[in-house]
Amino acid sequence: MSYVKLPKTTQDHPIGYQSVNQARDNDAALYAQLDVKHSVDFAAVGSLFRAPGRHDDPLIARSVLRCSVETSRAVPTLSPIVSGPVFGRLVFTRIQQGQWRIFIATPQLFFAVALCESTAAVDRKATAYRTYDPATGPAVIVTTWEQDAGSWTPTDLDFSLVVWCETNPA
Amino acid sequence: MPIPAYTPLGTTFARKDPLGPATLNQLQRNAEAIDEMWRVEHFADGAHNALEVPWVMGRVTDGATPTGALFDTAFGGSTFTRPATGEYTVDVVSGVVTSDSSSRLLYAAMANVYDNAIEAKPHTITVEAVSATSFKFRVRSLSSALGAGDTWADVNRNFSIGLHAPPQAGEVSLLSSYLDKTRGSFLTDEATDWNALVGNHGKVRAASLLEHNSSGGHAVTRIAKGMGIFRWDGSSYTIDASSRVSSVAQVSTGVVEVTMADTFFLASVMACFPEAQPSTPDELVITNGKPYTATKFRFYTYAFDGTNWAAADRSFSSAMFGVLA
Repeated sequence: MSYVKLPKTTQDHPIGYQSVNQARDNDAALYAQLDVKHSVDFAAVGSLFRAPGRHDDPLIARSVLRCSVETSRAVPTLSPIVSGPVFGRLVFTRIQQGQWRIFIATPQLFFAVALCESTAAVDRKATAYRTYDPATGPAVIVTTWEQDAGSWTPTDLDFSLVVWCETNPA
Repeated sequence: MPIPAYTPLGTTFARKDPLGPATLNQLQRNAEAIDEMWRVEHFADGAHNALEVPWVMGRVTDGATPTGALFDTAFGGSTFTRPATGEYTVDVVSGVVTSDSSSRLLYAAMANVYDNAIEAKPHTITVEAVSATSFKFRVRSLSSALGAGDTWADVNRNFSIGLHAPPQAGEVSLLSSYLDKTRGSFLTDEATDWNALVGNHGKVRAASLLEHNSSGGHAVTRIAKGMGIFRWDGSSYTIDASSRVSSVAQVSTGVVEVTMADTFFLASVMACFPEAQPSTPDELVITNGKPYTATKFRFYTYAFDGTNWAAADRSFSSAMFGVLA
């Protein structure tokens, strides 16, 4: 069903069944166009990922995070500055200094792109290791590295993480 | 306010069929439903407005005055400077990046060095938010020879970036008012009548075409044109998951070529953001990628053994951006 622009009417322009049929076709075409890359699932109202209108496209990241290391406690913790659309569903655990396990709210194949922050010209690199634990589900282990005196060491650093996934999580 | 349900109009009317007020009213309800759904992650004019879609995405070509490509300058990435070796600033339009109550800037970034130099050495890149409108990217490269140490230095290189930020406040609908019909109503040329229905369809159509094509696909550089998860099994690469990727093949140790399902306009308007899968969480690996031809990307992976760097094969993933031919 293709979209065909309908004219606005004037006093001398009758509107008949053909105009209404085309308006119906236009309505269906607009809906179908939206449906290609966006959720139209009204049964998923309230879903973080699948609510009507949300993107449903493997070419768009599913989740985006900016994580900050909070050092005010005895054991540093990871705090999401930006986190969506999985806000409230992400769980962080600290494995060791500079290394975090981040549980991903999807059973699907995913990958994550990590980037370290830096305020000076220093050697820093974040790596993202995808893993699966039958008890806790999929996760990514992010390690933030810094080179100091010729040795790369996991170091607590702020980082970004962009998560991609082939299909939309439930 | 909940999105009104969309109800397909199944009837095909024939001559002399009564058209009925319910038909016309449902057309308006459906236009409102479609418009509401569009505006969940788009502005009213159709531009994307979502955390998951980078506001600023493109590639920076090194130079005394660096230049950019692929950037949608409505949101930033039109002015670049290189204040020091390996240090670049990229501007962002005011209002794209905001801050929270603790004055922390709300953004997340991706970056990749795509310079030809990645064929020979691993490169790192980091991000710093100097302010809500200025971001610094710093590029460094291994200066030791492969297999001969671990010394790094600031270097001037070409690189690509993606900058995400939370959505901005939504806008009100642009749809015109329509007065529901009742039994006995008749159509006129009043603005709130048939012309509102037709005009509202036109407004939804126009918004949908701003950053999408008529088939519903995305037609904006800020959204990837391909993605893939590529597995190294010890002897060859296979595709674990992908979208718009045709094939993957090893070129030589640590060098992998990914062929896209689509032809891009030019290799100079392509960008990628790869991430290697280390052998273990404690392994340090670096993958950089670059456009190779109008249909191919090449990826270069290096692993660190605690003393030296060497080209290495590892599973990896990437999102690929660009302008299709």
